[in-house]
Amino acid sequence: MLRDFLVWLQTELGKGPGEYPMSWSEALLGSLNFWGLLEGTHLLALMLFAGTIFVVDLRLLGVTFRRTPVSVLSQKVLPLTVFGFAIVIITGLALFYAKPLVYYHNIWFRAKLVFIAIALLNILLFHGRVQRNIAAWDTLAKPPTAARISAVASLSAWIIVITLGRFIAYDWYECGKPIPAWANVLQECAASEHGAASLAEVAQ
Amino acid sequence: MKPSDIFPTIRPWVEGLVDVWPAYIIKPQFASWQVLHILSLVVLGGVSILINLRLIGVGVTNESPSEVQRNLRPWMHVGVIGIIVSGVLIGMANAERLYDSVAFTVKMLALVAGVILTYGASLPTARADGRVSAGVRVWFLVGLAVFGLALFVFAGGELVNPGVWHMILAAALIVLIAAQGAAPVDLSGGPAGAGRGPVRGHPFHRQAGRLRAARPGKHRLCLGVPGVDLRPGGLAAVHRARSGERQAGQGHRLRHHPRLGRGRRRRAMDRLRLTHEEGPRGVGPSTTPGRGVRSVGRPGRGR
Repeated sequence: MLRDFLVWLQTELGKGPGEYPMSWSEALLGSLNFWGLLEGTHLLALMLFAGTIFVVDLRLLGVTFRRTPVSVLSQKVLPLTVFGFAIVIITGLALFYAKPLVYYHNIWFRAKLVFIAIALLNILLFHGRVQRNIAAWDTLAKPPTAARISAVASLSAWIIVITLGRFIAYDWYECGKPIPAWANVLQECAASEHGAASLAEVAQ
Repeated sequence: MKPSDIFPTIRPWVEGLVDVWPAYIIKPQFASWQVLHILSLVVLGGVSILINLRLIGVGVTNESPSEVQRNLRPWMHVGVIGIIVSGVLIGMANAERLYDSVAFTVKMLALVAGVILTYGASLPTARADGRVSAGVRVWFLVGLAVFGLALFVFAGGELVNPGVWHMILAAALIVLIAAQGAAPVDLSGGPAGAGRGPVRGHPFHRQAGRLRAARPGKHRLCLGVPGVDLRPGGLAAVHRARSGERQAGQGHRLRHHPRLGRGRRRRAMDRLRLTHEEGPRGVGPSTTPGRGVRSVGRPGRGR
């Protein structure tokens, strides 16, 4: 059902009359400059978003800004982080819209979504539980273990998200190529237009 | 202007780079090294934004610029070394493509400009809490010249030049941020947007009022003024000079000015008193939570 929606999104939405009608998604993908601008904006916003969140995480680990209260640093830096995150999400959705089916059947993209969910869950846990008694450790150079674990989880999750984002561009596990069976299952290659080719069967 | 246009004779050497150590080791793990390049870029970007925003009075304003740079300087080194090392490695493994790329020329010029502006101007200025030395001015001009050259090549590069849009947008954002408070127009809005318009107490406030009265609807012309206002010694500086201790000095000078007649002296004293009653912006406890006195940067918005 989700795939049917994505097929409509990619091939039907915005399709006009004419000899070679293009959907909005196809027009976006085929644009000479706009696609590149979107990618550039996505990366620049990522620098703002991830770069600033790393600074807050390093403060929670007691590595930098050790004399600045955690609450003060968060208050000053996180608005920039949120601004960057908003642009990353908007440009990310636009990039997805240009090739929804390619991303849907991409194992790295699926893994990226999982780790984004983990990172967001970690933020919720931090604000809901860890930060509850922040008054007790706000000014400590080295915050308590729970805060440091949360910082490590945040750093790791966002680094993995960035790594997986880069791997999406590579076709190592592209549907239709001979790939391990588990990869075919995880990215639903059987439903894709290229089908599923098992590496084991090809080897035999 | 591609590297192959600048150094046309080195093509055989460039073509052989991929077979040289460590390029042939990097090539199979090219994507992983790209990830390292992007992660370094992210660290560098975050740190650079925080230090430079602090220098224009935004971001981590509860700490002095020297404290911000003291904390972030090691991470700046990590970012710069990271992009250079990973960049050289992936560049060697991909040398032939980069040799014929205008974007690569722009990137290298911008990298040189970035390093000069960061280590020659930005970090020393932050370390000195905003005091700009003669050496910093020289490095700033050199960095600006190289950056200008990068922009020139960027704007003329076929197919890559739409990227100049990012530069224009970034410049507009910087002007907007820097103009907050220093500009005659409050761009931040306010409760229910009531605050949009000339900032109270600014020299342009009265002027805008007169303009509004004289030519209804045309007062928006003064929106174009922030750029002029940001000049060193411009109206923003004049306005800042009105605040704090200088006010007492001005009063003293006015009272004992040898050439001022009694009438002019009284009027000048009245004007100074009026300014004092309106209150200088950016000094004294702020009414906005989390906004205190800033040691460097623009004056606060003041409402």
